[in-house]
Amino acid sequence: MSGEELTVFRRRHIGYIFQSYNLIPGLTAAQNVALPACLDGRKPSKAAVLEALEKVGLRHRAGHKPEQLSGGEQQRVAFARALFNRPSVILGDEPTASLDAANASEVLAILRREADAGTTVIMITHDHKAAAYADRIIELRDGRLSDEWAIPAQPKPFHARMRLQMLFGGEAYE
Amino acid sequence: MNNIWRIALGGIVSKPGRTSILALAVALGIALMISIRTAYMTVRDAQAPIHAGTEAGADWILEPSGGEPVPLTEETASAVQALPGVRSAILRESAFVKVNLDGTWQPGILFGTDPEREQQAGLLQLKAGMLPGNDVPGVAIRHQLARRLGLELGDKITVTRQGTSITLPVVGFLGPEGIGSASGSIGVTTTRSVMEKAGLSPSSGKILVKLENGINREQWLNEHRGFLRTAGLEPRVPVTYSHQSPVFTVLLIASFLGPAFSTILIQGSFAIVMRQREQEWQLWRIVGATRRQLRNLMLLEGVFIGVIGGLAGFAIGLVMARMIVRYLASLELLKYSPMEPVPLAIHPVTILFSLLFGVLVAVAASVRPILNEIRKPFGRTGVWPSSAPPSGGRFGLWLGGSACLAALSFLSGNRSICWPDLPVCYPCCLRFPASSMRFHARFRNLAVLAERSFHSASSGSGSMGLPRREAPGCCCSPLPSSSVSRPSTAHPGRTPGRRSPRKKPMCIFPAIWTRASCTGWRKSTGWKGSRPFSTWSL
Repeated sequence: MSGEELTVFRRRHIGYIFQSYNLIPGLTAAQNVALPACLDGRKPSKAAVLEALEKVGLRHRAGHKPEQLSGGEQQRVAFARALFNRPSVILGDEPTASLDAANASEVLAILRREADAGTTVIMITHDHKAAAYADRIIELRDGRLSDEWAIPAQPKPFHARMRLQMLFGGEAYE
Repeated sequence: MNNIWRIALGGIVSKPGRTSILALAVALGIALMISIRTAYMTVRDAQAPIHAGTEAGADWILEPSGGEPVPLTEETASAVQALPGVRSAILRESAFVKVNLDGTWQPGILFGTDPEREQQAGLLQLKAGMLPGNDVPGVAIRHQLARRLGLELGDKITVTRQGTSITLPVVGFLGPEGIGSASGSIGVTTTRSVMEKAGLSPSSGKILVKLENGINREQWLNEHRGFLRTAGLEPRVPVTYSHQSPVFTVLLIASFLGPAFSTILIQGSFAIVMRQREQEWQLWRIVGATRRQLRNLMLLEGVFIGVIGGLAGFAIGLVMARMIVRYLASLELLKYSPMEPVPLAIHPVTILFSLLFGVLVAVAASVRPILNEIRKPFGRTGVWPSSAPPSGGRFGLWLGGSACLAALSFLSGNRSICWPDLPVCYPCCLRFPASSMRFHARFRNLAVLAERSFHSASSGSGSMGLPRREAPGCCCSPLPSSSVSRPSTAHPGRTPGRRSPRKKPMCIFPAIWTRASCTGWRKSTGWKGSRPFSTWSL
């Protein structure tokens, strides 16, 4: 594939979520969310954009710019942007590292919902709590594969605490 | 593309501070160019008739000698004409008169001569209409004077002297080299016969001598000094007002350097802002912008900012030009120039050139960094945020030099001409690739020379007095040891962090600019220079 084709492929099939939000500074939350679709040559409806923001609980902040949003809100906008194109794969690079516990739980719950809906979510994290939301965990140490867990499918909703207990015995997080 | 238009416009509107700064840089650059060039052309136009002078073209001026003015006669002129080596000797008489223009009387000089002979001898030049003659009773005036007075061919001029008046139509306009007044009084040219018929007695007279080609005028004078003394003639050098005001020279140089300075100003401003936006470009790539979309986006931004800045710069430039010209008019150095009232010499080419220049430089300065950036493959876009401070770099110097040469080619009138004393003519480079290559080679050598001289001047100590190797982040210094990639122990043969060795940026701008850029950039980004962000390993 050529570079251009790769870009289009990434734009349509992969959603990115970063530790540092990476929203375009000059654009509002709604514009940030709609940007991938705009770049793809489509003209997303306002309703669709607001619905995407509604999913992350930020419909009322649609007209705000990134610098007017808190860290958690920015990250949720980044989530809405990543999910707006309905990607097949979501890549997360420490998406909860710069969030407080409440915001982190919120965004992890969103990711979990997407995974349950059939989207592949690949996330890098140092946080065991965040890792507990995954179905499969691959541990790397010094760049080498050191361990791997697979959590059997659980009925929904499955509380994170139970996952933690299953993975690490539970005492560490009591 | 429509989306890109909207996004580009949105980006400009949503960042008014950034847009204003860039537009202001463009506006100031263009204002500088327009004001200097307009001032230069105004002074040039004002001085042109003076430089030419009323006696330009003659080799010697012969006037009656002695304390008492003796009227010159046609016989005296004929006697001079008969001397060997003389191409023509023409008698020109003049009388101080009052000229009636729109009911007001103004001081003037009426010249009585033989216009046709003067034209044949190259002492005056007909611009429009016809020369006054015995069969064409009328007057001729300088076309610049006519333009200033609003006179057209056929208009009547009334002159009066000592109670005698004569009204004559304007039959011709004279070029810059011709009879006329330097400043103040109005020069009107007619034939001696008309003066005689009207009864206007001349107040003075002189014989303009034009020698044959190849005759040394000093030698000719030495040979015929005795004859001239006998005839009661005193030779003098023609007054051509060839003295050029230093102000004119300064403006000439400034109009040559102005485009370069403007280019550096605009390009430097864009370089700083664009460097800070590298992170944003990576975000655009992540979001899914293709290279073409990114390039178009920056292109549109550059055009928008260039147009906005260009229009603002044009307005500011005209105000500045008026102020500069008003100041120049008050200078003693330009006292011989008819600078009041001062019509600004605003040439359409100047306007077009300046606007085009602003847009082109803005586009080039905004697109060029992103062209460099989008060449890198996704995920290998180097250090983020960039470890190098912004610098105008070689591109700025190249642009500045080109602007200088382009301005030079436009300096003389509105034509592109090759100056023989120039090593290369930029417009020619556009036409002839071979010249262009030579131009590039010359310029590259210049750039290398400038860079070496700067580096040698700063060798031993880097920015802010630190040893060069201890000045991380300066674009002239090597990378700090902490940021240099080392082979990974976990993966021998692979270097973590920086994926590809960063090319050392070139720094050829004056030290003060680079230092200011470095300091400003460090403060704005809070970069310490210790840890490159290298987690781009998706």
